[in-house]
Amino acid sequence: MEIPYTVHNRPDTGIYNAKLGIWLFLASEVMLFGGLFSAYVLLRVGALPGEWPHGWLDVRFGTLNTIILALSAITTLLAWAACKVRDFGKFRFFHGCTILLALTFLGIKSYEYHDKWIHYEIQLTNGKFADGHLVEKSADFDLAKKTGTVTLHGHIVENREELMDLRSDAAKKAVHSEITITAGDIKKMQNYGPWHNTFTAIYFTLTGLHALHILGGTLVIFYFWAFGGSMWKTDPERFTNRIEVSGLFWHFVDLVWIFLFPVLYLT
Amino acid sequence: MNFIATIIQLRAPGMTWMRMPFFVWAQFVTAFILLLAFPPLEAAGVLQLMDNLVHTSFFLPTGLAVGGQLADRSGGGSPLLWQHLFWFLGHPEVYVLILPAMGIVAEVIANNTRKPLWGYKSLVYAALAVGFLSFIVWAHHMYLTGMGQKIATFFQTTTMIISIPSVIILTCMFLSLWGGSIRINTPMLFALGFLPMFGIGGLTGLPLGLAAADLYLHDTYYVIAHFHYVVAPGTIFALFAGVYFWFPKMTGRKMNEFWGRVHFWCSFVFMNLVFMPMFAQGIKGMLRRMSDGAVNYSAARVPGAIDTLPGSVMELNGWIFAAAIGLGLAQIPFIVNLFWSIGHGEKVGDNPWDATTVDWQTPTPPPHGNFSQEPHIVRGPYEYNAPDHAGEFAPQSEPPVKNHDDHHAH
Repeated sequence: MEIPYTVHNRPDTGIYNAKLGIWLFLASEVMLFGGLFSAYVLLRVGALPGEWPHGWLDVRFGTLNTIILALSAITTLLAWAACKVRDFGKFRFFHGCTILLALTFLGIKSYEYHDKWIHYEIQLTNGKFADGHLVEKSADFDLAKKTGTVTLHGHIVENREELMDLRSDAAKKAVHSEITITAGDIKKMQNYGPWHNTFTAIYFTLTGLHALHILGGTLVIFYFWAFGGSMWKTDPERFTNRIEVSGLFWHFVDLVWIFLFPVLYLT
Repeated sequence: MNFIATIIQLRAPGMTWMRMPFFVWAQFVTAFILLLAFPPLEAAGVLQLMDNLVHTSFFLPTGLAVGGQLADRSGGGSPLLWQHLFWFLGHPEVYVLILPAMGIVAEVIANNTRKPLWGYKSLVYAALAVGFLSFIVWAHHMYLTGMGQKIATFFQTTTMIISIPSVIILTCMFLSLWGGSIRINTPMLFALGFLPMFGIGGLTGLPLGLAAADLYLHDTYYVIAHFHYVVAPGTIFALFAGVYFWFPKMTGRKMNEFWGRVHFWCSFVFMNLVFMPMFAQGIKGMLRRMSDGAVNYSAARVPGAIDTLPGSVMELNGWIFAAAIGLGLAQIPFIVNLFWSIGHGEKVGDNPWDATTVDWQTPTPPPHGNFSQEPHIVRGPYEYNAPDHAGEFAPQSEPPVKNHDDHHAH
């Protein structure tokens, strides 16, 4: 027996099978990100006073990525509309734009990750803290043997609390310069990776999972862009539905970012 | 997703929502629970993976000491977060276990009482209510975590509320027996066994759902007894009923009736001998997860400790062990019967139980696409002795007959 409603809508529900499927999948995705956002809320309200950082992420990059994803949402919609009016050339142009925008987003995100990776907080033996981006390590630098030096572009503060709120006036006035520290003066040296504190932990987890979704969505869109031609010739209506369904996923991924941006960058 | 999409999109012509068999409703609600309750566990799994692989501190509090040394972790995390994310799956999951079981029992009962289920619509709405409420009761597993009394009060209230639809479902099934011309066979025996056993399991859950009583009963063998009554003679009995009931549809042969009854009665007796004593042990204070039931902490060892675990409570372990062996042996007739009947069981037709639902209108075993032609549904799922039909039962897809002489050939 032929399975009905794979392409055309069932009259009483008003949708075709795959569209219902993707909405159900997105419901489960809401619960997945919902669980992680709940974790964010619990960690933040449970943080000791002064322990939750502010202003650690560059709002300019976050804004840029928000605009890029918003544009990709528009091109996704236009790609679907192009399919609806049966213009395959336009479809390829608009979804080509979607793919390029997605790759730009991932490129910017990678730069931000790298920026955190080379950002070090160094606890000095005199009780002060050096904080800044790695410029270079001397060839013989070894923390365990206490040999060599490390050079940061940053500043030295008396208390660790001064590093927590980068939106404060004091933090904005701080003068950053190149500092060279000998290994013998270092008590503990750690970069701003996920292990640094619960903020970087949830930042890398949430944005990492989101980036994986971007990557997955891009692969699906790329598949339709590169190999969709054969189905387009035999069954354009079904192909159009696939673009709609993958587009719904893409809009969801955009929407997650709309929540991530204020929660991580603007607080 | 497949189950939900199939139920919404691919119902046969005429199969309206209120003509669906209760088993399909139960699967429908179960699929929604699975869809929405598992992702938070995935989230918990991702966080746990981060803690283990890249040494984040999602579940590690500040100042954690390991082996007398301050752990080299940032801290700031919350062990309670893990429990919340885990039980947000964990509690809906128990309804994943019991709802399909209830669906099976409903089918078997309707078929063997030869009358419609009592309160079909109440059953449907109760199943939907259970599905919704199962998402807001999870923290009743966490009364002793120190999450706070106000939260405990909220969750004990929702927990009491969710018992209402569960009781409605069981009551409808009990009342369905009233006035029926009951056929006793192996599937029906397991379905009838399910009713009181699940009843015991459900009612003994109420003291656990109340925070004050749970202070005492938490982590005792009372809990073990409670949830085993729900899932062992509850879910597993229903699954046995389902296997004996649908086996002829899968193979074209019935399982052996005599050995089926041996399997039921031995399982029924030993199941109770295994789990009933655990209520007594738990009420006496015997703790789970300890090889000696925490007798170490009792007055026998610690001077001044209040009360003690009497030797008789510990001795019950020996009897439980013997009964568990008996329960295991009681499954041998089932396993042999299952495989033997595939080749040697009594040959039967497409509808050996004279059932009304469309699963019995397919060829045996059902081919790809199930039906040889698309069924058109004209009536509800349990039309036994229906007024518009001359026969003793009216399959959902059989057109109404006006002439009493040419009623359905069988």
